[in-house]
Formats: sequence, structure tokens, C-alpha cells
Amino acid sequence: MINKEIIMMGLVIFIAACAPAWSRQASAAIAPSGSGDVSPESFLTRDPQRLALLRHQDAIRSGRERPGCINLPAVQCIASLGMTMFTDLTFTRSQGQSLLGDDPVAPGARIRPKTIIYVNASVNDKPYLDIFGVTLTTDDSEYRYVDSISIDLRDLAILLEHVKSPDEIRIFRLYRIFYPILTTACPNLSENYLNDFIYNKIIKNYTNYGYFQKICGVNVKYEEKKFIITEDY
Amino acid sequence: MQYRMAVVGLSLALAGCGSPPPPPPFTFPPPPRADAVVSIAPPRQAPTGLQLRDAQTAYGEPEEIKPQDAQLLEVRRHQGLIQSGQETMACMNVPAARCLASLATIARVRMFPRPEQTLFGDTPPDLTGRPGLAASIELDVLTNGSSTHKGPAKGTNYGVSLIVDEGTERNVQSIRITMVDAQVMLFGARTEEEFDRYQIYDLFRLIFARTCPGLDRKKLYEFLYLDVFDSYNVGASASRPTANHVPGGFCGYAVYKEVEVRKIKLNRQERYWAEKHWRPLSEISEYIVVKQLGNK
Repeated sequence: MINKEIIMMGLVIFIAACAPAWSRQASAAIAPSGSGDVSPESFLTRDPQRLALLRHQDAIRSGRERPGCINLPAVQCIASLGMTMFTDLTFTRSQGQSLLGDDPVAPGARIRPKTIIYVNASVNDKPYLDIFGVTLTTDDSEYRYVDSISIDLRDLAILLEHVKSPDEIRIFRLYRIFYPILTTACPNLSENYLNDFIYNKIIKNYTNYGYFQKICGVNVKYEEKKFIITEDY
Repeated sequence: MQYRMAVVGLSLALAGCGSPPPPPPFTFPPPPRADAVVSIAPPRQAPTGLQLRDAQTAYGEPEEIKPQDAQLLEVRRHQGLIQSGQETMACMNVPAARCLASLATIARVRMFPRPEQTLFGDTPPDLTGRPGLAASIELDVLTNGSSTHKGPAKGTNYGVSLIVDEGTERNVQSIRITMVDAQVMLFGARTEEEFDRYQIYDLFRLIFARTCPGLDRKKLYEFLYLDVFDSYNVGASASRPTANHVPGGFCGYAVYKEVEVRKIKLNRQERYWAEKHWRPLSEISEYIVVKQLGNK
């Protein structure tokens, strides 16, 4: 009898201590459920937007589809960002909405599409550490083609604005944020090239501060702690 | 007691919980294959057609939201005639239904009549029996970006008002264009590519369809650049002859930019704060207006 208790106790300690550590090892993953401890598969099993997201993730991982964001479906953009970042869609579906944030409607009623999709993202491989606020602005079609992306650096902005050389940008890992977005047009984009661009054309460009600069087929500008990326054609 | 501790310690040691293995270091994913597609979803295209806003502010097919609307049927009839080639696309001095059908053929047109209104915004007769005919029809026009660009493109949103008369045909008297997306950018355009960027030609091609059938794209841009957009800076440039343009309108119509300046109402404290922080004290809206010559 005593032995059984002890074994159960050991089991409980084992689960409590080890289970979270295991699940957090998934780096650069999508967590539509919001918590690193809950598997996304247990939520939204029949949501067509989630199924589309899985299809895009699968296609991008297997190399059948190029990553990208601008003028592409929002789920493809989220899947692309998930290649290099930990992305979290909790905010869009905090009250029973679909993956991209559409409110639930009565059967037969018209869906009111949400055209602004809020994503929390981190390059630190752990949720809830140095989180960027990524906002996708889309059209209201079925596929939610992305018009622009805003990346809010939040607390890191003040540090980034005071760097003294392009090399110091490396610690912010901005390459991992921009890689999925810019790699559509520039497959060979290097980290040094991107850091030079951000340093010289964006942050230290006092004559054209807050104006759009062109790189890899998109327009990028920095204002109020945010990188704003729009189409350029 | 010692026995118990030993068992607990053994179970912890077996589980290996003292130091969970660190996460693997991040590596960039392999590049896409050579035959990779840009997207497995269909490419973005600017849609065309007519959409109406319902009471829940969602857009849908007009027939679902306003079934058996006589004006909608008239628009559909004109769309059929245009598609079969029996009628040309036109917008000025033609029935409003024909102008709407023309716009819906080349762009996505959205309208937002209230539930009690007809498609054009007419309300039922008032208590004296007079019909509440709408003076203008408000449209939200999304131009087709692929008309000037090869790849996927968003198109440009314009607010278009058709000012109509009160006859049975509701002929379009004048047109007023608001730039929803492109306010500063289009007025500041200097090159042909910058004008192409906003597909303004698509709208003026319809507006001038009857008087200038094969409107030249470059000539239109020159006219807009030299005469219409310049008037804000140079004053009365409508009477100022330029190298490429003789004053007196374009294709038989007067085209000019209208600037509306409205003071923002502020109390003493708000005004002090706004001046201190260089906030705007007035709102400016700019329109392009197309009217008949000598109709002012």
C-alpha cells in the first residue's frame, strides 16, 4: 500500500517537472492554442483556416511552396513567419473565433471577415520572451491576401534605435523576422546585407526618416517602434 | 522512512528530471526546391462586379441583399448589353445604371444603401407625397491592379460620387472622385509610372468614353499633371496656357481639383495643446470633379 503511494508520488513529480520542458522544445512553431503546453491539434479541428494553415506549413516545409507574405494569403504568411519565429495566434481567437479572428456566425449567415490579424511572435524560441507584435492587414476576400505587415518591436525599439554599427543589429535577430517576408524576391538575401540596409537606409537615414525604402520588391519604413512593410510594384 | 526516500529518489533519477535536455539550436529551413510555386492558393486578382453592404456591414451579392430591386435589374440589363457588345461603356451624360454597369465591368464596385432605400439611395415618398430622390450615388470603387501591372496587385480604392438628375433615367450630370488610398501619392505623381501605379486611367477612360473614344493614356496624365493637380499650387491655372495644354477643358468636360478646408472645432485648452504639438487645426479633403463645360 505504501509502495503504491510512493510510486504515484514519483509519477506526479515526474509529469509536473518534465512535461512542460518537453513541449517547449518545439522551436519556431505555430501555437494557435496560445500556450506552449497544449497541442494545437486539440483545438479548431474543423476550422478551414487552420486546415489551410497546415497545408501551407506542409508545403513550405517540404519545399513545394516559397515562403512569403505580401499579396499572398494570410495563412501562408503566418506559416512562413513560423519557419523562423515562434508565432502565437491566441489574440485572434480569444473568444471562440476562427483562426484568423472571424466571429462565429449563425448557420447560413454571412461571415464578417476580420481584415486585421494580430500575431505575437518571438525569435527567442520560447513563448513570452521578447515578443514582437506582428499585425497583418489584409483584404476581405476568402484568402485574406496580405496588404501590409507591421512589426511592433515594443521594448526592444529603444535599444535598436541606438545601435552604433550594422553589426550590433545582429543580436536583435531581425534577419529571422525579415527572412520569410523578403525571401520571395531575394532567395539569397544575406544577414549582413539586411543589417546594412536597416542601419543605413532605415534607422540612421535622417534625411528620409519615416519614408518608405525599397528592398526585395517591398517597401519598408520605420516609425513609432514599428517596421511597416507594404507592397511595391 | 529511509526506504521511502530511497524509492522517491530512485524514481526522480530514473526520470532524469534534474536537467531537461536543452532545445536544439535554431537552424534556418532549407531553401525551397527549384520547382517550388509562389503559392498553392490561387494568385491575388482584383475582383470585378457589384457588391452591396448588408445590415451587418458585410458585403455580399446584390441579389441576396436587395432582391427584386428595379434599379438593380436595370443595372444587370446594362451589364448584359455591355458583355454582349450591344452597348459601349460610358459614364457621363448616360443613365446611372449604364455608368454603374460599366464601372462594375472593369472594377469592383461596392454600394451601401440602407435597408429602406433603393439601390441608388432613393427613399419612399414623404408625408406630402414627394419622392425622396437621391441627388448623388455613392460608390466605393476598387480598380483592377492587373490593368497596369503584371504580377499580383491590390488595385486602388476610389470613392466615386455620381451626381444624377431627377429624371426617370437618372442621367449622370457630374462625377466627383475622392482618393481613399492614394490621396497624397497621386497628387504628387511626377512620372508616367507613378500615374500608372493608381490606375486613374481606368476611371477616366469611362468618363470620357463618348467624347474621346480612344483616350490616350499619356495625354490624360499630362492633362492631370499640368492642369488639374497643379491648380492647388499655382492658383487659377485653368486660365493659364501651358506648352501641352490649351485651357478650356478636356474632351468637352471641365475637370478640376476641389479643395475643402474645414476648421476642427476646438475649445481653448484643446487649441492650446494642438498648437503646441503642431497638430492640424483644420481638415482638408481634395476631390477631382468632372463637369460639363459652362455648367457652373
